[in-house]
Amino acid sequence: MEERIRASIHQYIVSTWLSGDERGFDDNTDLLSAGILDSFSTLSITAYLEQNFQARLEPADMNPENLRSVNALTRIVLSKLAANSAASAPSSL
Amino acid sequence: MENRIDRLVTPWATRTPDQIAVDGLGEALTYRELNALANQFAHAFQTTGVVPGDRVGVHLPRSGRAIAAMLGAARAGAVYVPLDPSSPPPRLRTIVTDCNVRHVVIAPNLLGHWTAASLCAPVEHFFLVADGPLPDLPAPARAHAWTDVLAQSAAPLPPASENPDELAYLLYTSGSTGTPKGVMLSHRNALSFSEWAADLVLLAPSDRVASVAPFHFDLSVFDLWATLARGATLVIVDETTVLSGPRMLERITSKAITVWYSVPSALVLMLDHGGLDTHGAPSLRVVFFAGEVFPIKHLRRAMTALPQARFFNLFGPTETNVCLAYQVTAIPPPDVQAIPIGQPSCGDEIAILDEERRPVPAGEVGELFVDGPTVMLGYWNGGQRTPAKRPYPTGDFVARRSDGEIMYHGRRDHMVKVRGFRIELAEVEAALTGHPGIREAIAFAADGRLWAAIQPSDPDLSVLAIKRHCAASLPPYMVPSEIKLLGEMPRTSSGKIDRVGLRDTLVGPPQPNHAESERSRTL
Repeated sequence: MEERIRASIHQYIVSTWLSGDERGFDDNTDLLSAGILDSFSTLSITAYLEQNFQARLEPADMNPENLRSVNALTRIVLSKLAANSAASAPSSL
Repeated sequence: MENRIDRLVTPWATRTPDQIAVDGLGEALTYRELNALANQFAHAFQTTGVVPGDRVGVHLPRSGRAIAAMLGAARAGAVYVPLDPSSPPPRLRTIVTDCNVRHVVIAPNLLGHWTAASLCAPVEHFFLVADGPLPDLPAPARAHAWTDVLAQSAAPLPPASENPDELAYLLYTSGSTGTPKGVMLSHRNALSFSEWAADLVLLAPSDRVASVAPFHFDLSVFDLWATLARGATLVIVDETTVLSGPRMLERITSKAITVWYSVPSALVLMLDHGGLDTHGAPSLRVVFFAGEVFPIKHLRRAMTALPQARFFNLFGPTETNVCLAYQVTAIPPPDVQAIPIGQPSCGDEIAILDEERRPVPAGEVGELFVDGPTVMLGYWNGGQRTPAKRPYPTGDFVARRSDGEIMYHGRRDHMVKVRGFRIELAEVEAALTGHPGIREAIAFAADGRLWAAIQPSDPDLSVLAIKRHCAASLPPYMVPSEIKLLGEMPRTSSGKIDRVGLRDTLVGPPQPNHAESERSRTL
């Protein structure tokens, strides 16, 4: 699960924000200093995460720390998914 | 000082008749020969119906014969229209129709352009500049043999006019829409620049001036008319040679060229591929550059390679020829990001105005307005003649530095808005070319995003490294979203990077109905 999410975010960022050029990019690359993050790409990345992983992100989640890298984005998605399933568990019983 | 082009060569034909005026590929013409041939062309035009004010097309590679034809047109009181030998037939048709060209001087191998597409109208007379069989042309067009021109009298015609403010030539530029429009330039326009530039560098008969720029490009105005006004020698660096760094440098060396005027790209080509860095070019004493921004790291290399040469940054759109100039007196130190475009030249006056046409305070950016002897007469477009606005709004953004020098801040049409942010493309390009692994870079806006097309000099350069480099010096909204790495930049026939072609190749042609601004608003 975690690896699938990581790979998917990695692939999305490389294809959308690096013109498909993977050289030098890894899951710890700092997206801000790499010139990938701005107000527009932040919105796009948020939309991508919400659509593909059903992870509802609040504005407060979109802080620089959570957006720092592919690994950070993976962590926030995982934590949201965990919170979702915890929240939805009682009602499904 | 002569005040009309048609008179320039005459005094030298008497004073130094055997001096080479034009050293072309396979043919050199002395001042005596050039003068005589220009008169023969003038007679040939006149006997076939050219009257003062008529347009004469010159569809030839750069050569002594082409110059004689332009001079001959001027002596018949006509207006010469250089036609780009590399231009496709539809563009030629647009130009000759637009300004109603009835006479064309042509190289026989270019005739196919006209006959294949049956686009001769409105041209009635083709003058071939080499021996060979006469082609069949659709009536009423007819061809005149080279021997017909040579059979004309070489005696001078009586002067067609004394007026320096008459139209001398039309230079068709692409304009932002892509439809060519004719910039109307007078004898005074040409000579106020040429004489100023010749004085600046003390151009003398001993000088050997390179002809690098195509004749339909305004850089050639210096090559042609400053050289011939001062009795110097014009050395043709032909169309294939200018594509090769080593061959260009070989031409400079073997012909002992002393004065060079080109777009920076030609110098970069000689630095990157021609060996200019290692061999230098000791004969060069003057280097003029214009037409696009010279990336400062390449300028430093050029000045290091040519320590004996004086370097000048010349500035101005075709509509004003050169209106500002700056001598680069020393190699710019590493902390300098851009050199000035300098001070008004050629007797022109400038103003830097805001959107309400009020002068901006020193240091602030405004649009450059120019008035003076180099400002064009107007446009010839869609068959109509429109006088130039005066002072002429150049569409260039500039600012006056505290020391009085003018700094360039890009074109009005290179100022884009992406997602509400105003972005000066020149600033993005300067940041990109500041990277040691980037040879050339072009930025543009499309689809609501900022794009960069990059020609790397380092094959290992990654998109990530480029973005990281931009992010270190530019705000996030100025970091290009789309970065395309190219093996080579497409170029226009004048040697500049073809921005429109580049954008169309990478993105597709722009959509009609202002789709651009619509799309960027919805994003």
